[in-house]
Amino acid sequence: MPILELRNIHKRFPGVNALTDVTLSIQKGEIRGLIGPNGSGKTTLIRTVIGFYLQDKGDIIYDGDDLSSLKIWERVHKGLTLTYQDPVYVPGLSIYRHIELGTIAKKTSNRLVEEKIIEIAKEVGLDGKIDANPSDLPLLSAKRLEIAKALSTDPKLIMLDEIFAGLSFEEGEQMISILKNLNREKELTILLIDHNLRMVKKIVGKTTVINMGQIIAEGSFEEIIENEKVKKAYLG
Amino acid sequence: MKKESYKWIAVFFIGLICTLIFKSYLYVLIYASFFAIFAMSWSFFTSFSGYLNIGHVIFIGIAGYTTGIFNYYLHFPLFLSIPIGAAAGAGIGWLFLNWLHRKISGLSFEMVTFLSILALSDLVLTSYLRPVTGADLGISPLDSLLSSLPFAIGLIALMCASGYLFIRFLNSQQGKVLDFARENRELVKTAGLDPHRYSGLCLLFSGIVGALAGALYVHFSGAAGVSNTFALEFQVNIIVMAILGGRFSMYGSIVGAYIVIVLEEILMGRVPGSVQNLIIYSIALWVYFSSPGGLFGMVATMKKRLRG
Repeated sequence: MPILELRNIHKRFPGVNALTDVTLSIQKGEIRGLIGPNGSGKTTLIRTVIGFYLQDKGDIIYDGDDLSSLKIWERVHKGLTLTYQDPVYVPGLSIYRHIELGTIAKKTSNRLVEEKIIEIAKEVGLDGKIDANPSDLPLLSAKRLEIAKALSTDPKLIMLDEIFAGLSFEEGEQMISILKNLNREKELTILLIDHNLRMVKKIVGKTTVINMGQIIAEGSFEEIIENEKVKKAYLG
Repeated sequence: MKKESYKWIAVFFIGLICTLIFKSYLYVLIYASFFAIFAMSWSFFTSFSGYLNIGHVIFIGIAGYTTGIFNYYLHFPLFLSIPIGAAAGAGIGWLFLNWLHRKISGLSFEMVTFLSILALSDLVLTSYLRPVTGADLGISPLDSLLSSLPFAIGLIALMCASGYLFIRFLNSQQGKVLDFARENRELVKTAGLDPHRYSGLCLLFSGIVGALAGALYVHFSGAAGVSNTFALEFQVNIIVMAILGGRFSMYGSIVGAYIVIVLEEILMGRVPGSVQNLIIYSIALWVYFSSPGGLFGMVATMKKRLRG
């Protein structure tokens, strides 16, 4: 059963068709890859899904509901969330405070919130660092914090924007292990947007390729790398 | 929060002692306390929501003119006209500024709030409204709140209660959201929260306190006119006091207000009004350049240095 369905999404910015007739279906519990060259519309797509941009045409169906009229925070309440390519945090506010922010909307008791924060920190490998200032974190930990922030909102679907960017191979492996665990333990659906094909290949089941705002291929990783349109988009 | 409540009780007792020692300067203490409340309520919204509000006097002005109209024209007693004025000031002011801050931010918000008070100043001075607003003279004489010891003590209590409640708000879940929202609203939205809901709540508290003090202030001044409500200079003075003391601290706003009012009192009659302003603004400028956190920021930095 699809958790997210994008039907004929169009988004135009002045002078550019950012998304053209994008149709995409993601199944519950799936880890989907979304790849494409720079400027192909990957980030625009997830920012449209979360509600930062309103599509000009088309429907975004999440868990059976049309999201078009919902604000960003209402979409998050439904279980949709994203992480940023460059970690976003407020310097000076601890990791604990950053994870706590996502729990505020749920209005749970302080004790439960604390337990939840500690549990999330453990899941992403930030236990023992919850009082640290995010500015002091190395990149891998900052990316872990991105995931922790997303998890604090109790998501069903998480869209990861270039989570492997800037990470070494070993760090990427650690990130894959976290994501696989979350997918398995929490049945979290993951839409992974990345350039790092080596990492994407290791984790995704199915991959969608976008170029110049249009979906040009979809299938297993092995299938899409043999696709002529994909080769042309990447190699010119 | 217990420690915080003790601090405010201490501030109240310091104020109380000052009223008893400086009985002949009671009106100075009262003026300073009024401006401390104005500066705190301005600072509370501006410093903690991330919106530079140049139209905070909208709350004060609407409250002042409303209580003036009810008291002078409709002969309502003070105990009725003041709450009506405060409710009108907080309500109407909030509806306008809350709508505005949901629509625009940054420089646009600053420009629109700035232009709004210029427009309101001229509106109350216009000949069409002269029969009601009294134009330059304002609505006067209003039933007066006298410069008495009980009033001074009551006002200091209001100042301390406001400061304590502001800090309680900032330490609550709402305040925690504001810490993020003023730096990055997008981050708050993706955490499943509407940042404007929290800044709107902050604006409401700021407006209630500002409007209540505004309604009281015109009765203490004896008139509701432009100069003690919508005037740009009135707004600027409030900002200067908050900046001087330290706009990220409620205590800073109080210290700033007291310093400016006492300085004005000392300089009055000794130097022309423009020189008086020049001296005060220069001090504020020097303090701000030395420490953007104002005098309170300076003290905090010194404490840190001393601790090594």
